[in-house]
Amino acid sequence: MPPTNLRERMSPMVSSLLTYFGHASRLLFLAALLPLAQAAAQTPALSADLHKAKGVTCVDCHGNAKKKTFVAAERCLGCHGSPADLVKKTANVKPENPHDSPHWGPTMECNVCHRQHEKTVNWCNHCHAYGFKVP
Amino acid sequence: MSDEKKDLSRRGFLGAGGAALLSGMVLGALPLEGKESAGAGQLPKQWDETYDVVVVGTGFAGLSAAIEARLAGASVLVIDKMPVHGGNSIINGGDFAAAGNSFQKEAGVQDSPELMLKDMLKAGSYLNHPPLARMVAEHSNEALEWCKTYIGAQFTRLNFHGGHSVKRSVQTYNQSGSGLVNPLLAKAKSLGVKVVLRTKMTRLIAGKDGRIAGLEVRHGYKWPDEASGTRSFIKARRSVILAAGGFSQNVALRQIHDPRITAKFESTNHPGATGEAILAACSAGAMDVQMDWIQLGPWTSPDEPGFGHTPQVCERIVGYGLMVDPATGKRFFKETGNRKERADAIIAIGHPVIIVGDSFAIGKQVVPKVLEKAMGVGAVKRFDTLDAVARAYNVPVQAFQEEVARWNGFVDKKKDADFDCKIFPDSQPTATGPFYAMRLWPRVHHTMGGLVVNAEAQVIGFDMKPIKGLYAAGEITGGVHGAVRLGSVAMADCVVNGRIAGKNAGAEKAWS
Repeated sequence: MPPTNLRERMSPMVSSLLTYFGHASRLLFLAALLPLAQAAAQTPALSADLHKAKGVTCVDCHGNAKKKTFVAAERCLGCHGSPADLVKKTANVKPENPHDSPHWGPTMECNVCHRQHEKTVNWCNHCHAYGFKVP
Repeated sequence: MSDEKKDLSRRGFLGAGGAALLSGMVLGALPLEGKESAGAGQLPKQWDETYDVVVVGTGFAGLSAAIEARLAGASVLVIDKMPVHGGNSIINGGDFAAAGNSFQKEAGVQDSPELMLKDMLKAGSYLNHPPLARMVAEHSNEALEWCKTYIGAQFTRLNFHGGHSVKRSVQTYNQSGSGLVNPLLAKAKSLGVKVVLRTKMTRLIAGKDGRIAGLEVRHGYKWPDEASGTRSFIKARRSVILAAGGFSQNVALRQIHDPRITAKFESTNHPGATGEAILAACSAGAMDVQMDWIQLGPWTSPDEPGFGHTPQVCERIVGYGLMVDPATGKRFFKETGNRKERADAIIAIGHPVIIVGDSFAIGKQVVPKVLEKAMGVGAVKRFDTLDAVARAYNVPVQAFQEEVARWNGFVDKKKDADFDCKIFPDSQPTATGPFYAMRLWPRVHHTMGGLVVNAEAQVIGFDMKPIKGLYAAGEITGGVHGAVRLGSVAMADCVVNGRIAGKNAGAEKAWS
């Protein structure tokens, strides 16, 4: 099954903005999430809740499965862009680009860190003390 | 929650996980569900998957083994319980000890497999199983050449590691084991080896004759949740190769073998280095050896977690700078001594010590990017003067200045009259500012003990005979290193023995 197009599930306004701004859209998308992230500080929200608030339903990631299923990176990348795009997006993160680490480069599965139904994880911090904010 | 707190809670959890694992072992409560579940030694009614060779672990040893087994004509599956590949190998420093390597020849360093073996045996207190140690020393350079020419890994530097009598460790281009693991993985995949992560072996399965027939796994295992994933039985027609690493992160298991290494001691290892595969092999009749020889690395910093960046600064400047006890300002041990000697000396002092290098030592020996990272996290600090170093670490200034002068006298004479530290031909007195200093406190780094193997990488059972269809290589085995593994010999061990295991496992006659 091909990855669901996230844009089809967004409000018409957000969708048209994304189209208008082309490649900058992903940054805008993050900006649009900011108020939600702040709300999360008061009422803890998981990444899956942020997806849900944007109209991404269970089926979009898990298909019609009746139980918890593992979601492969391909599904995430269908909406969030290629690994190369994500490497670029975090190129200025210090002290190390988490999407292009000296160990795994751009090959880590998204949900090693970006857990959807539980607190996100900073995998690097098993050995480092990097203050990454993991959405 | 802050990162520090998260890290602490993770360690707490690991401790609890280790205890849970242990009680599981004692009660024999390995996961068994449903009526069709097979007991130890019994074949399942139905196999879910079939391969000629199944490898457990995606580090240097496992991937080297998988490649050789595939080249021997076997269909090969490699599993790893973690969500990322590479185990400890992908976070190691990328140093590979190889006797008589091309970098040594270029630098005019005289070396031989005999000298490397002598160093390994001396550090290992002669507890090394001689045929295993000899195998690694004699084939170390051949293994390095295989990594360079067949695998395509790039090595760019010649380094010294404590306890070796010469510079013989060549380092990957990126100062990380990833510089070898990732090319190994790419090669394995290009040959048609299947690699599946998040799949944990829960037990080995043997036929009535004791021959290993396959294994029970949990696919979709979500480390460290032991109840996660779904059970599957994988038939291994020719062999199973265990290359799942050691148990430095398993506090409970560590303490069974060395009660002194309490939870107070952190580890440099990846969080999954908890040794369940060793226990599973023992449950299937394998013998273990020297499990109480657990090594602490003397070059880690209490100012960053895990392995961090400090080891690649500290270990580069031994023999060029001096290590002192901040309480006295005096040196206390041979900086170029082996890991165990140095870690023991620091632990005996009871608090972190410091090592100091000047601009010449740091500039000549340390990769700039490594220094930048180590300074970025605050583990390595820069000072304009030696007095400033002393004040920053509460070292008696006068005593420290006298000790630096004494050390510099030894460097001039190329002879350390106090501790016999190795002083290199290009070492210079510690005199050129600015100066760099870092605190050191040991962390658990390597478990020398593990499964008994012979020189064919066959796992030996309690009947003193090889267990048919079971091979092992890398840190999961015991005997290669004896009491102390020298730095950079792990890569040589893993590639040499991983290849032997793969060749032999791939050549086994299929049992079905």
